[in-house]
Amino acid sequence: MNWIQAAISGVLLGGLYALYATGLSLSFGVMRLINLAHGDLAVMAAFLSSTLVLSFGGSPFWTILVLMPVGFGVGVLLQKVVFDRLVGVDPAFQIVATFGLSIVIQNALLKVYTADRRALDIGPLKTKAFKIAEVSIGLFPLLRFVVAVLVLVSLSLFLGRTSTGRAFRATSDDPEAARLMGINSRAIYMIASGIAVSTVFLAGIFSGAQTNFASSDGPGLLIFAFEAVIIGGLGSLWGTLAGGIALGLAQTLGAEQFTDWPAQLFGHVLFLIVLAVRPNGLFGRAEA
Amino acid sequence: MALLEIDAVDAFYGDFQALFGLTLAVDEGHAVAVIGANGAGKSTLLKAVAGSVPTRSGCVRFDGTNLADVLSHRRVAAGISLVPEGRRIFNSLSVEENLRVGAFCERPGPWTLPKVYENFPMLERLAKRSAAKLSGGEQQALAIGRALMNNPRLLLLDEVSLGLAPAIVKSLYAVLPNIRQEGTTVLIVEQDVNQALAASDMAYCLLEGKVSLSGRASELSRAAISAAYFGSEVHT
Amino acid sequence: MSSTAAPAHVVRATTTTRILGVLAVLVVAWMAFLAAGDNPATQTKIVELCVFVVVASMWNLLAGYTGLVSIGQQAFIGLGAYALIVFGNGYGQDVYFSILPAALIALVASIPIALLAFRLRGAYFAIGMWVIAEVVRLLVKQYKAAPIKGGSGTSLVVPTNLYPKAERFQTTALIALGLAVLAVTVIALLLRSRIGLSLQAVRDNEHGASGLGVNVYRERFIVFVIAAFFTGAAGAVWYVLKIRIQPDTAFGVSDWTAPIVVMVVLGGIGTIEGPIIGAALWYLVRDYVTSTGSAIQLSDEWYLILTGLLAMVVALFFQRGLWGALSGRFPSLQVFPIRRRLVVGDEVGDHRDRKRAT
Repeated sequence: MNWIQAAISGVLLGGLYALYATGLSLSFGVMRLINLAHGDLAVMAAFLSSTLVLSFGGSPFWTILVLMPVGFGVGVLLQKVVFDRLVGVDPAFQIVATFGLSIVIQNALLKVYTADRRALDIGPLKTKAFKIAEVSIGLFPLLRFVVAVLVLVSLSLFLGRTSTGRAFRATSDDPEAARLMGINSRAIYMIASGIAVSTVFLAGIFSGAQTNFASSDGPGLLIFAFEAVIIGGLGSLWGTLAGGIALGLAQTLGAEQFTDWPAQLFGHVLFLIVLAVRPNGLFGRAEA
Repeated sequence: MALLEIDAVDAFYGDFQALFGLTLAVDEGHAVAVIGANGAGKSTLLKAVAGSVPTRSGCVRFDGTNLADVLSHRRVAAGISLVPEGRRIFNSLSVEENLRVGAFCERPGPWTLPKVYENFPMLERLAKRSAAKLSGGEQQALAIGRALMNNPRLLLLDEVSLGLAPAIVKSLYAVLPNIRQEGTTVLIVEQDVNQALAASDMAYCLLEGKVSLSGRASELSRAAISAAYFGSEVHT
Repeated sequence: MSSTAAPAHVVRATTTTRILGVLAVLVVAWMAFLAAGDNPATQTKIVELCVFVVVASMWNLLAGYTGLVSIGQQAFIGLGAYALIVFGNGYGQDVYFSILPAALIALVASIPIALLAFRLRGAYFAIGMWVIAEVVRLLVKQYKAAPIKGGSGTSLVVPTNLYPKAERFQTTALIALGLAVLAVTVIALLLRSRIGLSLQAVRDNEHGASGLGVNVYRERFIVFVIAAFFTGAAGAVWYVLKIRIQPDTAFGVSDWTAPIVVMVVLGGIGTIEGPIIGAALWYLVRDYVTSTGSAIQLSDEWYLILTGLLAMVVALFFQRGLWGALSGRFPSLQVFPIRRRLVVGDEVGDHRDRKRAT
């Protein structure tokens, strides 16, 4: 029964990882850019949410409505000031610049919020659970999972069914040819970064409501997001969800079996196995 | 006033100068062919009009407006569509999605999905197919159809015949009268001189980035073209 | 030598190169003098600087010449360091004679790591290497028995009867300096070799060079393994001096790769001189801004925020770095003549340096 319990928490945790990975996958898909500060932005959102709750009271949930648009704005701004200069350049400079951004955000958070760990208080919802047979399912993790799936479904509909979504995919295929269709690739990149940061803000708040967080947590979250993308396979949002779930399962099932080992190690090991056996990911398209 | 005026334009491809003070004009409703050997600057000319290659001096005017500060995606919205060399189809999109991306600017006009399908019947059959799986001829048809979906005033065709069987090239050019019938002006860059001259009213021959010959397509003699094509010293 | 017979020459060394070469030798000699002295504070600085010169140069060899940008080089620092602990504390071997085997352990470990990580490209390779370094860190932390002692760390045992403290500082500083000179020499020779020429051809034109039949994979593999060896050696040397080791710092990305990346980009990525200059500058500035009593004393947070901003600014606006910008303006400026310049006619005054193009 413990195994089923662990598997269910793994799947639900996987939804959160997929939410972390969505923005990373989108930025890479549309402009071949990896933002190493992705995880730090999530931590920043959790801190901002805690500040809003401390100042205005209430539950952290209302801060999502404020912070997701703020995240979109942060993404657009980052795109204009930083990322635009990194599209299409040697990956070395992408890595150095966004690594620098990561160091800046981490230490700014450290300066403002000290090194103490914080938590977002969602009240009794945090511990509420319902039982099916002997297995208990946490209400909040379930809610989080459902929201993650909803985000992925709406993003997938946006990309698949709308004119702007088609423009995203066209730009991803060939930005110069997309410009010849009248698509402003810079505007597309701004929207992509806006979506990437607002979804990772959402993930950061959700994750801060479940476990406490500190200014130095960003790189760890970046690695989880990255592993979900690679395990699932590049270029597919459903792959990213599957990758997130696989990662969550590896962590919870691994920790269930080897209780004195760190859970994230099993995620890393799954990542390395996938890399060795299926380098294009579980659902990835082979690149020509 | 001509729809497109190119006035003493210099353009560079990287460090390499491809156009030297090039001047030519295209009247509204006309089809104009630009011929010339490899490296004469034909493709650069089209890219300079579409905005993907910057001009260093001189002036490109479209409908009287100087295009110098108009970004390439804005030129599309203004009615300039380029069918690029190598087709540049969006491989992860279906055939129909490629066409819909072509209509991104939503310019009004006669060209709609059904009308493109009517002119290129094979595209309708392949509508749901991934564009990556098309043959070369089908991709070229898709590239032309995609540009038409923008309802352009000026259609730029870059090497439509490249790598295609003569019969397929013929079938693609057969659509040109229908395009011109809607009032669209066409600028054709071709290596296939016969095909280009047959399809157009006016022709310019480029040599080393300059116009070496121009005139009515029907009145140019083979000898004059051949001299302008390879440089006159070949014949002297 | 008649220049009419050969109007075009291939030139490697110029007068400037010679002067700079002499200067470099003088700097090394001066550092050797200080290393052989009796000031432990100076010797510590020499070790730190030299270790970072080695690691930054190796990171640059990967990132600047082979396109392998890694955020996981701390894996080899930690492996070299912990191999030293195992040889020294576990098997009672002499610490100095353990540095070479420790570096070899890092080299051996780099082979399966390369086989895995080379399946990823660009930024994905970078993060993939990071994950691999994390795995090694977690595994080391999990090994709680002696001599590693898990996450709480341990201390290298250096018998004081064999090496009194003063002698340890002196020997370590000399070894660190020697390692730095060796590492830079190996890089210069490597880049002049056929491997280096293929790599630079690939860097400058990936498609063209692979069309010429250059086997990129093999060259990248060789360079990766060499970098692991020297990075491991640097890690071992560092901990001979520092004694105290913990997995979180030995395998810490912010302890190693973060400053290294800034050094290399600041100095000039893709040049041999760049990382050396970047590391030296980094040390001088860091010393100045963080030491108590200096005019601008920064807290750790501010110092790191400025570091991050510097990395961003350089990567966004100043991609050639200091040395890249200098040598772009003065093409004859190079300490290590690995670039061959084709000189037509009598452009260069120093006829003795010419090698005829064949």
